[in-house]
Order: sequence, then structure tokens, then C-alpha cells
Amino acid sequence: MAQTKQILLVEDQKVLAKLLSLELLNVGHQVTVAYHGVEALKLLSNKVFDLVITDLFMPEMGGIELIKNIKQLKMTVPIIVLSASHKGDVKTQLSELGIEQFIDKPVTNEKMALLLHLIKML
Amino acid sequence: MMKTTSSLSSSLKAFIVGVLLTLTLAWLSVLGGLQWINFKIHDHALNLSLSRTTASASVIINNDLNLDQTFDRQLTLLLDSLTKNKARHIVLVTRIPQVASAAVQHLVQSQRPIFLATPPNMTARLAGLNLSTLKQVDLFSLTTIDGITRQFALSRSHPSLIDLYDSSALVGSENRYFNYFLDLDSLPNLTLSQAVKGGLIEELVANKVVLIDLDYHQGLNAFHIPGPNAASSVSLTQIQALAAETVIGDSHLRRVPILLSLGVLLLTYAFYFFLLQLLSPKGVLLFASAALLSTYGLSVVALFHWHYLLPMVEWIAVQVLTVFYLLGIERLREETLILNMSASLNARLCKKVQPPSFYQSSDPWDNLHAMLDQQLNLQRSIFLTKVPKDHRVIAIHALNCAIDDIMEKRRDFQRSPYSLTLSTLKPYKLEKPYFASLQQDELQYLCPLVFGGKVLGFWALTVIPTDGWHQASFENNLIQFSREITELLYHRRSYLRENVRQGGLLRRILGLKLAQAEYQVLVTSLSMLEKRFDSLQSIFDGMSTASTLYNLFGQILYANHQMEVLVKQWQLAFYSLSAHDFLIALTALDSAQIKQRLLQVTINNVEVCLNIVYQDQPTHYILRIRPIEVSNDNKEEGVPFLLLGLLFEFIDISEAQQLLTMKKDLYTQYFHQMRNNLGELYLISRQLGRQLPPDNPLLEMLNQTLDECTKANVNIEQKLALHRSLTSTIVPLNPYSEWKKITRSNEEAIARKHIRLVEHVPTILSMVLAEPMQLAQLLLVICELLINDSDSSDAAISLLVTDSYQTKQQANKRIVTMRFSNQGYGVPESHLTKLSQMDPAKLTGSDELLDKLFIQGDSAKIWGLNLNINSVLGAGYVIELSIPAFLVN
Repeated sequence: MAQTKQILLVEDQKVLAKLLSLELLNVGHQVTVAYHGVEALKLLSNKVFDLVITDLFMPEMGGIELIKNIKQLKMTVPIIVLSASHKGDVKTQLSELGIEQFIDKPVTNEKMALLLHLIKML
Repeated sequence: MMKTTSSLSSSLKAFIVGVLLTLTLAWLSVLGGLQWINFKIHDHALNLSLSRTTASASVIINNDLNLDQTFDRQLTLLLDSLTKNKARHIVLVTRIPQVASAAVQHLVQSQRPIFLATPPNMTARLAGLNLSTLKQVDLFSLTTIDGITRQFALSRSHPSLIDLYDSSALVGSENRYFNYFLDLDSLPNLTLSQAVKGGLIEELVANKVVLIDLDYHQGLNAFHIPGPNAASSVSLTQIQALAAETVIGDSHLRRVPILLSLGVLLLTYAFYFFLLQLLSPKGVLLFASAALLSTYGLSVVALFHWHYLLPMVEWIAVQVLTVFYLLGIERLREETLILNMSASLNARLCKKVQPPSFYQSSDPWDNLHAMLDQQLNLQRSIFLTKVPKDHRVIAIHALNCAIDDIMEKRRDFQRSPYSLTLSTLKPYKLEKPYFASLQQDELQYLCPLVFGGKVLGFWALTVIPTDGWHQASFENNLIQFSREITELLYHRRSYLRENVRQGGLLRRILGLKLAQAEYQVLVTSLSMLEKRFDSLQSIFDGMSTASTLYNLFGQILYANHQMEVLVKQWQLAFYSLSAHDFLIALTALDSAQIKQRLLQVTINNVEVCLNIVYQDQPTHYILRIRPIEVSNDNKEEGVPFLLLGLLFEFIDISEAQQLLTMKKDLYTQYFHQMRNNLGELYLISRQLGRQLPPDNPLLEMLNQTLDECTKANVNIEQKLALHRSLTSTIVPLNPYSEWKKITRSNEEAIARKHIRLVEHVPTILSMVLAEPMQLAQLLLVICELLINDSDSSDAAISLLVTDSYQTKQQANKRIVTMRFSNQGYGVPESHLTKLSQMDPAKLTGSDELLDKLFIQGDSAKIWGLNLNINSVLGAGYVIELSIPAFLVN
């Protein structure tokens, strides 16, 4: 059994968020879901998380802006980006923000396995 | 050449005719036909009060007494006084034989040397007189011209009056002209009574010839002279004294020798002949006026100072006649030129409007009627033309009817309904029956055919409205078609008239309509030309692009409305900028680069395109600069340049870019959604997998379907991404600049391996159409591959760029080729062949850079790039990129 981690999942697609939560719960992690960046920031300010998994394109506050806010607030929580965007400039932007873990959608079986592996390694 | 020769020949003819006219004038002068006018001018000059007073050699004493004893006494006293005061000679002057006899009797006892001067023709009549005490001398014989005493001469058969003054003064007996510039009033002139009563002083008479006018008391003054004294006549003695003074002063008037006079006239003519070619007619008239005044002044000076009577009237006449003659010649030449120009213009316009076969055809109207029927769906149509010099109209051609179908039988265009339509110059809907047998809903129209204000004819037609027929649109169409038909009718009439014209010249001249016809031809030609210009201007203004036409010197010839709007928006002083300055203001290029591009257009006759985003404004333009060549017609007329000018076209691509951006955003959104949905399905499948047995066939099928959907999605997404990049992100860019950016970013690696970059790039390089990111990635891969492959001992990476036309499938396509090569290790050719034959999507990435090169090259194919890779093991690579240039052919 892997070590239980407190994970904040930020995803605006509710079904996808629910399914991802199930996957993560299934391997023993505690998952809190936020549907956009603003909500995620509120949760982060109230509770300590071991990991943030975030989408990039969301209403109100997107993933990039959320990451910038986390960095500004000097939170050291690890971040994995899970996004459909595979544009070069997005990756460059993430790299500049110090984000190296990027999994592009759709979340296939292989990518889910990769995600779980990354969580385990953190 | 023919024209020049012809013009020279006509000028020579004109010159020779002018010379002949001048010789005729000179001949008339020799015959004396113009002499009286010269004398009139001379007489007029005397009124200028320029008379000259000279020291006279004569004294005139007029006898105011009857020839009786008192006269004897007084004469004796006078003679005594004259002798005492040392008069040189005493001369009694008379032209009356009786007076001469009386004088002889009075002086028979006198011992003094006294002369009797009489006219030469009196000598014989005095033969019986005892002249022992008197010496007879002849007076000057006088000649009167037009009532004025103008000439004098002296018979040399007897001693004459002049011998008393100076015997050597007058040699020969030819006529001399009086010089009336000598002041007659300056001769001492007093009566006998005054002389005797007042006494004579020595200063007055000493050493002078004293002429005693014996006839004075009889009031016989009958010699008329010109000038201020012309109102009164002078006495014989006065005129003789004047002749004598003229002779001894050698101041008689001289005439210019005929040859000299002729030479001056010819020179004057020749001078004006050439002057006219240098000055405008107005200038010639001004010069001629000044020259005439100068001629008059010169004549007066010549008379006054040099005593020459110039052939002034001939001189003035030759100037005036030459001016009018040459102006007439010039007028004729201009007229011919205008006629030729208008004929040529007409011919050219006709040729461009319709093929000549149209006018030559005996019945060209069939086709025209067929075309009109197709466009307007006419029921009946008939063209009526005006009979020349009449107000009737006749039929030219009819469709589905005949002239007899027109119920209006007068066919007089000055009457209704023709006059009604002429008053509006628009199609007129006829309410009263004009055509016979009209159907119930058949509408009748009558259209005037008026060209250049001249009625050429009428077009009568009928139409039956069908569903969707719109009256206003139909009438608008009638207006447009009427204009075209009018023009055709005009050309046809011109063509037919031109055929008749050759034989009708004399008739036109006699009718004084020669110039009028030429004027009319010119007016109509200009009217047609104006119409064509208007059409061209409308087309130019109607162009969707903002366009400007510059001449070869970079000055604006014409700018369309869109251009004016654009430069107003840019706040550029457009009209004060040359093409060069305009480009400087719009682009980031420097002067040298602009000049190179303009030269590229003018010298190499190619199009150049530039990217224009003026001062970060949102609108994005492509500026296309292309040469406008001189048409073949103008080339024949010796236009010095092959190009008329440069056309600048600003093509607004902002809207297209916005549309494409919107499409791109839609695609992005769609694929995000697809990815999320697929992700969800995967996760559901995983959840199901936990609840169902792992070998459940349905679960397996679901996973397989999901995998296939994912692959299909990826595949379609890649294709759409390529298409998206083709339509939305392909922009004109300079490939060499992109390469320089790549080499700069790899400076360190290049320096580390001591690699030299050898580049051969043309001065002017076309932009290419490429997706910037893909091109940059491709160039980066090439750069890294060549650097990695290069031998570090003495490596060089060479780039040879060429910009040329490539003939492919009979279409000229401009291609920029970048040929990269290095000195390195290379790979076996078989390896390259194997890679090139593989599906780029299935490349493993084992040989990463080479794989990437093939993948990138394959991706770039979609926007026209062609990649060719060669390698020789141990020698290095040769990589060639061929990219389509951004030029519109």
C-alpha cells in the first residue's frame, strides 16, 4: 500500500474530476476537488496538501495563474499539470514556472499509470 | 522617319513659297509701286520736329514792288548795298520771261556782275534779249511727285545756279531728292523794301549768294513741300535755294540700292521663318510689333542722320506678311496634326471598343439584337437612325417586327413621342400605341440614342413583364444598353462617313466646313476618351486594395480612393512623399534596402512583396509592388521606358487572419473537450475493470475502441494542426534571417567545434511563405545535425541560397533554395534511403536529429517546403530546402 497523500485535484470537468478522484482514492490517497483556481487557492490557504494536480484551462482562474499564485505565496507543494494543451509555448511557460511534471490528456491507462507512478515518487 | 521626312518637305515648300513672295514684293518695290507709301512715312517723320538748321550759303530777297521806277531805284540801292557788303554773287531769279526782259532793261546800264537765273526751258525764250550786262544761269529743274516737290536736277548744257555756289559740287544731271530735314526757315529771307529800308549788314550777305526773287510780288508761290510747312507753298527762289543748300551740304536723300534692299528683305523673311519655330505665335506677334516700331525708328534715324530713305514699307510689309503667312502655315499644320491625332485616337478607341469587323459587316445588328434579347427578354425591338440633314428617322434593324409595325407614321424626331424622350434623355415608357397589334400586357419603351449631344437615333422596344420583372431595374438596364448602342451607332456612322470622306474633301472646303468637321471629330474623340478614363478611374477606385501608381521617378501618378483613406488613417503626407520615402516611412528597411527592392522591380521586372504593420496598428497589410509595362501600342510611338510605372497594392489580410484565428480557437476548444471526454471514458473503463472480470470481452472491446478513438483523434488533430498552420500561421518571412537567428543561438556550439560558416546569399532575396515555428524548428534541427556531424579539426558549414524561377508543369514558380552542406562524418546512403521510405509518424527516434529532420520535413510539406537530404559516409551531409517564394504570379 502506497503512502497516503493529501491531494488537491483542480479540474473543471466534473465527471473527469470524479473519475480521477476515484482512481486516486482507489490507491489510498485523500483527494479534495476544486473546480477552478480560485477555489483551489482558498483550499490551499486552509489546508496543507502533499500534491496539487491541476488542469490548465479552467474558468475564473486557469492553471498557469494558479501556479503563479502558489509560487508567489511561497508554497512548496509539488504540482503535476494534467492538460489537453500540448502547445510548445505552454510547456515553455510551465518550465519557466518550475513545473516539470506534465501529462497531456486524454488520460489513457498508460498515462494514469504514469500519474500514479509520479505521485508515488513524490 | 516617314513623318519627319514629310514634315521637312512641307517646311521646305513653305520656305520657298515665302521666298518667292518676298521677291515679288521686292519687284513691286523696284517698279515704284510702293514708293508713295515710303514718301508718306518720310513726310510723317518730318512732323517729329527734327529739322536741322545749318549755316546757309544763300540769302533770299523777295521783290515786293512792281517793276516800275520805284523798283528801279530800290533795286539800284539794293545792289549798291549788296556790293558794299561783299555779297559773293547777286542772282535775279524769275521764271516769267516778261519779268526777265524787264530786269534786263533795268540793269542794262549796270556795271555790276549780276546773274539772271531762269528755268532751263526759258533759255530759248530769252535768246532775243541783250544780256551783255547779265550772265544767265539755269535754275534746277524740279520734279513733283503726288503734288509734292521731291526731286531736283540740273542741266549741264548751260552754267547753272549751283556753279555760283561751288562749281565742283554737282557732277552729272541725275535727279536728287530734297532733304526736307533741312530747315527752310533758317535761310535768310527778307523783302526788297525791308532790305533797302533797313539796310543790309555785312554779316548777313558777305560771301553769300543773294537770290533776288523778282516774281515774288506776283504771288506765284506754287511749290508744295512736306512736313510742318506743308500747309503753305514756297516760292521758286526758296526751293532753288534749298536745292542749292542740299547740294553743297551733300545732304540729298539717298535710296538704298535695290540689291541691298532685296537682301535685307530676304534676310528678314528668313529670320522670321526660324524665329517662329522658337517662339509661340503670341511671342512672334509681340516680337513683330516691337520690330515694326524699331523699323520705323530706324528709318527716322536713317533719314535724319544719314540722309537715307529706307524701303520701310517693303520692310514692314515683309515682316507683317511673313508673320501672317507663317502663322497661317502653322495653323494649317496644327489642324492637320489635330486631324491626324483625332483620327488615330478614334481608330484606336474604335478598335478597342469593338473589332473592326463589326463596322465592316453589312449587318452587324443581328448579333447585337440577339444579345439584347438574351439580356432583356424583349418582345420587339427596332433601331431607328436619323437621316443626315433631316429630321426623319429610318429603321436600321428590327427584331420580331418591322418599320411598318410602328403606327406613328411621321417618324419626325422633332415631334412627339421622340421629342419627349429627347427632353429627358432617358427611356420613355409610351402609353399611346406606338407599335401595332400590342398584346394586353406588352409595355412599350422609346430610348434616345444621343452621343456627344448629337441625336443619332432611337431604340424602340416592347417587353412583356414576367414573374420577378422589376420595372426600375429594367429601365436602368435600358439606360446602360442605350449608351452602349449609341456608341456602336456612332462608330458605325464614323466608319461609313470615313469611307465617303476621301471624295468629299472639296465639297467640305467649299462649304467652309473643313475646320468645323475636324473640331467635331476632336470633340467626340475626347468625349470617348473621357468616357474610357472615367471607366478606368471607376475600376481603379473600385479595386478592393488600396493602390497607388508611381512613375519611374517615384512620383505619384494616381492613387485610388482606398489609398487616400488609408494614408489619412496613417496620417502620412502621402502626396509629398516619393515611392522611396513612402516605403521608408512604412517599413523598417533602410534607404539602401528600399532602393535595392525598387531596382529589383524596375530593372528585373519582378514583383516584390513587403509585410506592412504601420506603427503597431491592428491592421496587417501585404504590400505588393509590381511593374506596369508599357503597352505594345505605346511602344510603337517611342515611349522611352519599358515600364509605365510601379503599382503599389496594399492587401489587407487582417480580416482573413481574424477568421483563421477564430477557426483555430474553435478547433482548440473542440479538441480539449474531446481529450477530456476520452480521458473520462478511459477512467470509466478502469473503474469497470475493477468491477468486472479482467477477461470480460466487452471491457476488452471498450478498451480497444477507446484506443482506436484516441489514435484517430491524434491523427485528425495532427492533420488539422498542419492545416491550421497552413492557413493561419503561414506568413511571408525572410528564410536567411531565420537561419541567422538559429546560428546565433548555437554560437557556442559552433565556436566550440571551430566551425566556420560560409554563406552565399543574394543581395535581394524574396520572402518565402512558411510557418515560422516549423521553419525555425527545421532550421534548428539542420543546424544541430550539421554541427554534431562536423569534424572538429577543420569544419565548415556552407549555405548557398538561390532565388529563381522554376518551370514546373508549364507554370513559372519562384522558389528560394537553401543548400546546406558540411564537412563531417555523414551516414551511409542506405540509411538515409531507409529513413526516407518510412512513415514519419512511425520513426523511432533512435537517431534523434535525423529522425526529427525527416519528421519536420514531412510536416513542412503541407506549406510547400521540399526537403532533400544526401549524405556520403565520411564526407558529411548535403541538405536542400526548396521553399515557395511569396510572389503572386
